[in-house]
Amino acid sequence: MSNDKGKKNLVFIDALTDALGRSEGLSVEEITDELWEEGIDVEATLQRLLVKREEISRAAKRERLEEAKKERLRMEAERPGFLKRISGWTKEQILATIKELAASLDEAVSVSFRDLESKSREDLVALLEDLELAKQRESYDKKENG
Amino acid sequence: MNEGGNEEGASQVNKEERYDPTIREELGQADWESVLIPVLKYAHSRAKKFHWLGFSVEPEEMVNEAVSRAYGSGTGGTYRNWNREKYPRLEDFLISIIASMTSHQAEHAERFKMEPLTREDGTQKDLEDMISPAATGSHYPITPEEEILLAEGLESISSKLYDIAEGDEDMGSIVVCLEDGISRPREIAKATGLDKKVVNNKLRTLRRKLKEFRPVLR
Repeated sequence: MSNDKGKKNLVFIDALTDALGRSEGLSVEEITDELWEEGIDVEATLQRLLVKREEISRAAKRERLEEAKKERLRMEAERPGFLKRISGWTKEQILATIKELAASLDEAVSVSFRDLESKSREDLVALLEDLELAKQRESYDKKENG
Repeated sequence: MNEGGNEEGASQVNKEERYDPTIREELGQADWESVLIPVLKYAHSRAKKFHWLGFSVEPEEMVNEAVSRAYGSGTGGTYRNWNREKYPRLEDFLISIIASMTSHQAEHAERFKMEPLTREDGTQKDLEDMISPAATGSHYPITPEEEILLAEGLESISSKLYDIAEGDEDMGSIVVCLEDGISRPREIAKATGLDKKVVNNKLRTLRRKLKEFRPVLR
């Protein structure tokens, strides 16, 4: 398939399957109907996907906690005292610092503040660590780039 | 290049850009039941491309891989940062990931062999091995025989579309758009002057007529 016709057909089939898969302007119910028409058991498939999504979310969280642990050890080595300092903080102090740090970063961060209050203290500490790391990276990058 | 292909550039992982872990916060709050339905439809459509060419890709695996990448833990450490300005809706972001994965394959199909998702021992291969060989470095030159079969499959699909459009001017205009790589319904509507509803109805007709389609290989 080294000729132009072959390439053109590849573009064609790519566009075709892209167009047929799009759902612009269709409601979830209409899309669901189309999937049923295709012979797909939507309910069963959706349940499997939702279960898998939960697994992915949990795995990502575990992964992040592992990363955070490594980073915590690194941070402790580089900035002894930070984690010790926040360990005695109240949830309100952590929340205030999260907002302060997020606002101070050059790079826009997507923190959904409205739901932070409902988070556990452990989650908030993890987020604070992420932001602190982002701040450290920014400082490091600035230093590196002169 | 179609729009699915256009999204590829935007979806490639910038190695200098780190995954933004705060995205997970928003992912956790999404209404996944309604998000996954259009993503599933898109994955099924893209899987047909492989099916028509004689290969197999599991749509659910594509959806799961897209979700994994959005969570920062895709196969082989791949990830995608959700650009909310470009994709305000999570479903569009996930669809862009699948478009990227599968368009990549299309672009490389000339040079890389597509393989089944299972190994000889029956175990599942990583999706990345199957649909994005260039990303993993596992390049397989296709044989001249496979090249001919692939070309015939593509030709057969192309002919089928023109058969369907025969005597239907609106459908003909849509097929011409697809041939030019224009694939988004709103872009097709703009290019053809047809109402978006008409475009959607025609695409639905096309989907129905292609439901049982199998490419004819000489």
